Amino acid sequence: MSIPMHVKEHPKMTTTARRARTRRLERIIGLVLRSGVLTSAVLMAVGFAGLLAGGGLSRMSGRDRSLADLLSGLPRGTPESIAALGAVVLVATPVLQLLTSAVLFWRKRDRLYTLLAVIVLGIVALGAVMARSGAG
Amino acid sequence: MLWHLSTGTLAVLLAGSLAAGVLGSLMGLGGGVLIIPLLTALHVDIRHAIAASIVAVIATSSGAAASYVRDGLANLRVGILLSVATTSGALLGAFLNGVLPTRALFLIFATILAYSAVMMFRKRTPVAAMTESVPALSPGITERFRLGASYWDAQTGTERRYEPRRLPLGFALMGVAGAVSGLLGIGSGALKVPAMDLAMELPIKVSTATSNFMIGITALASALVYLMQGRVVVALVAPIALGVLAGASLGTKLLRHLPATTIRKWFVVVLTVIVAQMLWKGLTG
Repeated sequence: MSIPMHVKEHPKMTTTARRARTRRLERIIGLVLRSGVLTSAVLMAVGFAGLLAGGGLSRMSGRDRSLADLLSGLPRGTPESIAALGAVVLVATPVLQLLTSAVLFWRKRDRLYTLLAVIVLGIVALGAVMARSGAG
Repeated sequence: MLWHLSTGTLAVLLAGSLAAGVLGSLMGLGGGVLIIPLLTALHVDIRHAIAASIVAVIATSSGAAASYVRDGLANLRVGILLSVATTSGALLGAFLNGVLPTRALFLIFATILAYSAVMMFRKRTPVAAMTESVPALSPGITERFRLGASYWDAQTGTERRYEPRRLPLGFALMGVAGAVSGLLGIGSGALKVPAMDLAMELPIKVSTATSNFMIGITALASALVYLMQGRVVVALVAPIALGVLAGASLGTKLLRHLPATTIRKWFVVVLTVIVAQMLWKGLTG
C-alpha cells in the first residue's frame, strides 16, 4: 500500500504489491465518480425541490432551451439553473473518469493505458464536434 | 409542447427510474430500454425522451461504476481498452446513419442478441473447474495487454482470479456494439455484456460491472451534444436522474450478494425482452 504511485511497476514486484497499487488506482477513480455523482444529485435535488416549491413546474414548457439560457439564472440562484448545473456536472463525470484514469496510469508509468485513455477522450471529443456540426 | 408534472406522473417517473437504475446497474445495461418507453408513454416528446434517457444512462453507469471500481469488480484496463472499440464504433455508426436501412438493422441486431441470449442461457451452470485455476497460456496478444485480475466475491466468500481470453474477438464485438448504439440509439449495454461473458470469458459479475464503467463513456458524446442543443429538459431529467441513482445504489448492493447464476438468468430474461422490442421495431418500422 505504501509503494509510491510514480515508481515503475517492476516485473519482480510481488503480486500483492502490484494488486495493492491497482486497488489504490481503483479507489481514486471510484472516489472521482462518486464525488461527481453526489454533487450532481445534490444540485438536482435542491433545484427540483425549488421548482416544486415555487410552482415552477406547471409553468415549464417542453421547449428546447439552450445551455446558456438554462444556466443564465445561476447568479440569482434560480432553482432551474441549479438543477441544470447538476445535469452539467453529471455529464462531466465520465470526462473526469477518463482524465483521472489517464493521469493515474501515467503516474504508474503505464504508457500503454495512458495512451488508450487519451485516445478514448479524443474519439469522444471528435464525436461531439462531428455530431454538433452535423446537427447544424 | 406543454406538459404538466402532476404528483401522479412524478410518482410514476420516480418508480420507473428506480427500476431502471436497479436493472441497469445490475445487468450493465444503462437502462435506456426502460426510460424511453416510459417517457413516450407519458407523452414526452421523443427528442426530449432520448436526451433524458442518455443523461439517466450516465447517472446509472457512473453511480454503479463508482462502487464497482472501488470494490475491484470492474476491470479498469478492460474498460479503457474496450472503450476504444465502442467509442470508435459509435462514431462509425453515426457516419453510417441514414446509409443503412434501420429496419433491417433492427432485425439483424435482434438476431445477434437472440443468439447471445441462447448461448448465455446454455452457460448458466458454472464450470467449477474453470474458476479454480487459470491454465498457463503462452503469451499471445490478449496476455500482452495485462488484463488479468481478481475480485472478491462476497456471495461465495472467495477471491476469484480470472484471465480474459480472445481479446481480438471481444474488441471486434465491442466495435459492433458501439456502431449499433450509434445507429439505433439503443442497446449499448445489451451487446457489451455478452461480448465480455461469451467471447472473453470474464466472470458475469465482472462483465456487468465493467459494462457499467464503459456505458457512461459511450453515452458521453451524445450527451454533450444534447446538452448543447438544449434538448435536456431539467424538470424531467432531475427526478429521473435522482430515481436511477437511488436504483443504482440498490443494484450494486444486490450484485455483490446475488449468485452469479441468478444474474445470468435475469440477464437472459432482459435480453429476450430487448429482442422482442427490436423485432417489433424491425417488423413494424
